[in-house]
Amino acid sequence: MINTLLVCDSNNATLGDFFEKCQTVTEQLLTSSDLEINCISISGNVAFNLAVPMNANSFNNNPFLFISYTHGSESELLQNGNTPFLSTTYETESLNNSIAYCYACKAGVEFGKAICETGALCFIGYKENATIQKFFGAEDSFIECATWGIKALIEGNTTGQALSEMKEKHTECIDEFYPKDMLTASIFMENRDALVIHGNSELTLNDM
Amino acid sequence: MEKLNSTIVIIDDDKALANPDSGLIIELNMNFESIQFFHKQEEGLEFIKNNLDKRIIVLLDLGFPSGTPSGHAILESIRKITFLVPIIIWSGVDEDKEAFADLINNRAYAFLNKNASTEDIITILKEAYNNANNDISIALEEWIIAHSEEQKEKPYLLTVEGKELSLNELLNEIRLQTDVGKYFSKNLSKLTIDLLTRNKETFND
Repeated sequence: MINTLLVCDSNNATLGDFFEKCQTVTEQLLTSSDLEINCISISGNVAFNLAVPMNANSFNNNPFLFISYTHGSESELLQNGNTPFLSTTYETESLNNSIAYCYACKAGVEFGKAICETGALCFIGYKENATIQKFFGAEDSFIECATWGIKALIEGNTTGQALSEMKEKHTECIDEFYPKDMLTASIFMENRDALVIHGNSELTLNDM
Repeated sequence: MEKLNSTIVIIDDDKALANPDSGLIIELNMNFESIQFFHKQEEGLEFIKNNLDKRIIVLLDLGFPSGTPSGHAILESIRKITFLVPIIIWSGVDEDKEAFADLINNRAYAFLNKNASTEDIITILKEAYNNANNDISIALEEWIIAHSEEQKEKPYLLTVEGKELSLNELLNEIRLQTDVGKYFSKNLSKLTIDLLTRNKETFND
């Protein structure tokens, strides 16, 4: 059984609905997979800085999957865009033994590295800002790109392969959008080029 | 000769320069689609404000009657609206004595002395036109302008800071060359390189 902790900042004023859609897609991927998955979801008004470490610590004696759709910074994952709930200086060890998949701006710069140095197995995320375009028919493609790595992992790919698949998906979206909307295509390009992996790139969910 | 698709806006209080029989005006009319002459600075500024969707190049005098805005002030006023219009300073001022720092900071495209030949004036205007053709920010501006008003008013994207921008608001950021405007212009250049590198755009056989 694969324990999974899924965090979604659904109440965020600007991107809460986008994060929630990513959560929904992720839950569908997890429940429809052949893997036996025990998933705890944290979202809404819950104090993430208490609930996330508490639940992560209940899992981290064994390998587990950590997935988050929130704002972030170079050293933090943020609730509501401003309140750290995990950081390089707060509850870093709670993600020991995790494959951490974080849709959060810039968390790949310091946070992802720090948790891997402390004991996380792998971090997949972004080393620059991750931007989306919610309008003019592009949102679904951004949701697909944000969740594509989870799909790739569920299909048996390694963490390194999952990152490659995410990049390919982003490139597909560039090619789909650039003939009609080069600005949106450029956002897919920026997000693709921001993707980063730390830790073990040879892990699969079956290893867990 | 095919005229260049551009409106030359001349802002100068010397009415004699507007003589349609002058060599300069004849040459300008031969080379460019439209010539607009404004003796009053405010009228020239108003025309530019109301015609940002046109490809405009400005010839701007510096010296105007006292009590009215100088060419320096008009340049600054234009730059409060857009940095995407090439502005050529065309003046008889003593270059050794005139203050130039603001002209540089407000990105005047070039300086022409009033004694410059018609040929020199046309050459610099054509150069400004060609540079504008190759400016990705101007290309982005024109892409946005091509949308309907309804489309331009709708929210288009979210910045990382959570600010919603419509295409019209993005257009303003691009014209003012803010960090957001420059970011998207730069991204378009990077996208072009990405597409070329992946051979997405090739010659048709």
